[in-house]
Order: sequence, then C-alpha cells, then structure tokens
Amino acid sequence: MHESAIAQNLVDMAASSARAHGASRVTCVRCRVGTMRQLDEAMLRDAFELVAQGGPCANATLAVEQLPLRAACVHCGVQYGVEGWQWACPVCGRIGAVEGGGDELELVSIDAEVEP
Amino acid sequence: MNIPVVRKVLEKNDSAAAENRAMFERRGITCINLLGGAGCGKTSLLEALLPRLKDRLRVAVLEGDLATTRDAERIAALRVPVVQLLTEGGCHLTAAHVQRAMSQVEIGQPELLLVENVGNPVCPANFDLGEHRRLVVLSSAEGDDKVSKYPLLFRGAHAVVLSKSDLLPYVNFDVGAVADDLRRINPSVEIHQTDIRHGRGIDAVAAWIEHVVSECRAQRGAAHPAPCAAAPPEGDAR
Ligand SMILES: Nc1nc2c(ncn2[C@@H]2O[C@H](COP(=O)(O)OP(=O)(O)OP(=O)(O)O)[C@@H](O)[C@H]2O)c(=O)[nH]1
Ligand SMILES: [Mg+2]
Ligand SMILES: [Zn+2]
Repeated sequence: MHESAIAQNLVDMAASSARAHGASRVTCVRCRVGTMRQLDEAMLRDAFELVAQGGPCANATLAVEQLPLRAACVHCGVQYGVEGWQWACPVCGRIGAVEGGGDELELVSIDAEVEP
Repeated sequence: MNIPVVRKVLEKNDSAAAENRAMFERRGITCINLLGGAGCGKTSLLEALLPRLKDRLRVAVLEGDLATTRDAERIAALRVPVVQLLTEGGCHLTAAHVQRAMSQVEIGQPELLLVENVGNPVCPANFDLGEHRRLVVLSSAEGDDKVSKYPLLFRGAHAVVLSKSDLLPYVNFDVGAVADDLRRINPSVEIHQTDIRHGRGIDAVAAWIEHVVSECRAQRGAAHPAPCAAAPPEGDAR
C-alpha cells in the first residue's frame, strides 16, 4: 500500500531536515494529511516505525493531522467537511458540491535534538 | 528544538514527474495514465483502442503490474511496442518507473504513450507520473457507489470510462447516479460508456484520445514554434 512509500519519504525528509539543523535525533514528526489520500493511520504508523529503525528518526512519534474534503451545499449554502464519506449536507441532508482540500500531504515540522 | 519544514511528502516523485513532463515535451510525446480498480477492464480497453489508434499515431504502451507479464503479452500480440513495469508488490507506479521505461529502446519514439497503472483504485491516484491526462475506468460490475468511495481517483480524472455496460441488466449500477456523483466532485470530467463484447463506445474514447494528442501538440507548437519540423524518427514497431 502507499503508506510505506509515504512513511519512507517522511523519514528521509525528517532526517535530512534534522541534519541540516545540526541535530542528530528526531523525536517527533508532524504531518498533515487530507482524507482523500485514504491513508490508514495504523498502517502509516507501523510503516513509519519500521523504516525509522536504526536512523535518526528511530522511536520518534508521528503526529498526523487529518484534513477533510470541503464541500458547500448547493441547496442551502452551508459549508462543511466531508467526514467518513458522508457527502450529504449536515443541515438539509442533500448532497452538496465539493470545494477543495482533502488532498494535502505535507510534512509540517519536526522536533529534533542535538545529542551530546 | 522545533524545526518548521513544510514540504510536500511526495516531492521526490513530483520532481521526477516534472522531469518526465520535460522529457515528454522534448520528445513530442502525449502521455495518458490509465487508472482503475483490479479487473475493471483497462487492458481490454487498450486492446480495443490500439487497432484503431495505431494506424493513425505512433503509439506505445507501458504496462504496470504487480507480478505477471500477461497484460504486456496481450498488448505485444497487437504488435504495439510495450514495456512491462513490475512493481514487485508495490501497489502503484511512480514517476521513476516511467523514467526507466522511457530510456529503453523498445519504446521507440511514440507520439502517444498509454500507461496502464496497477489495478488499484486508491494508491496510484497519489502518484503523478508526469502524464498529460488521466483516464479512469470504472466497471458496472464494481457497483455505483465507487465515485464517493475513491474521490481522489475520480477528482483527478480528465475522462471516465464506465466499462462493461453489457452487464448493466445484471447488476445494480445506476449510470445517471454515477454521472451525478462524478459531476459533483469533478464538474469538467468527460464521461464515456463502453462495452467491449459488442464493440460499443470505443470510437468515442479513441476520438477523445486523438483530441488530447492534438491539443498537446498544439500547446507544444505554441510554446516552441518550430520553423522547420525535424524529420520524425523511424516509428519502429519492432
Ligand atoms: N462483459 C464484459 N466483460 C469485460 C468487458 N471489458 C473487460 N471485461 C472482462 O473483465 C475482465 C478483466 O479485464 P481486464 O481488461 O484484464 O481488466 P484490467 O483492468 O486490465 O485488470 P488488471 O490489470 O488485472 O487490474 C476480463 O475477463 C475481461 O474479459 C466488457 O466490456 N464487458
Ligand atoms: Mg490489466
Ligand atoms: Zn444543505
């Protein structure tokens, strides 16, 4: 699944950013993921743990912020996030037009330490 | 210390895709990425399209598959240049796969490159190959709830082929509802219907592809007006 490819990229990018700042150990990796990416968080964590082994990201925590696909109801104008593939408008119950978002996939920040 | 980074997680693939785009421009290639779930009819669609397309365009195919070379053999039987890409368990093609394939001599100098991605409605939609268009296949046998289940796939599609329409009498697949779902998440998408068994709808898909090729060609012409066109390289279909 694509979780392992994404975990590998996260680990590589976190390690290179830490190195660029003279840090040798990464303790936390924060990322932002749109729900349209359909990443399985448990699988992503497992994959992250596996590829992080033996490198600067070993034992780092992975913080995942999920962002919904945004929709605007074409009938009543309410704006809402599509959660759990419930596309219907939470106010009038009809299905609204999709606006954007939900396809984010970014490394946001890392916590890193300089080991003595 | 907290280090803000803000980088796209797939930036490595994105930059390989950008290199592919530049390579396609240089070589005058229009690339279409064919996506859809396992068994939705991607190879069958290619088999129906290629006899129509290959007399009018130099066309080559990349076949992405987990393990076997069966799909590539089906294409080779039509005497169309094809390179098999085995992902060895990987659930999607990446831009690097395409890069490697395009350096092989078998591929020749196509004007049209059709890439059949790994049969999977989720993962391949995440990976830009540098293609000009995405063609997504959804078969009636899969059910009419798939557009909202795989939004990234359908939102990124330029055209959708609703395949196996000969099976409509036997399955619950409301074509109107699917078209509504598609337009809701992707208002500009083109929708086609095909039935390979009776050869229905294929000409319209072929016409869409030819239109894409001429659009891309016109764009290239506008970007680099060529005073004297270089002789086209030998279209060596082996
Ligand atoms: N009835 C009917 N069957 C079809 C049609 N198109 C494809 N099939 C059948 O669907 C099955 C799968 O077709 P393929 O073309 O191999 O599908 P695919 O998407 O390339 O499959 P993968 O590459 O394995 O993901 C085959 O048995 C085809 O004969 C169609 O229009 N009607
Ligand atoms: Mg196939
Ligand atoms: Zn509403």
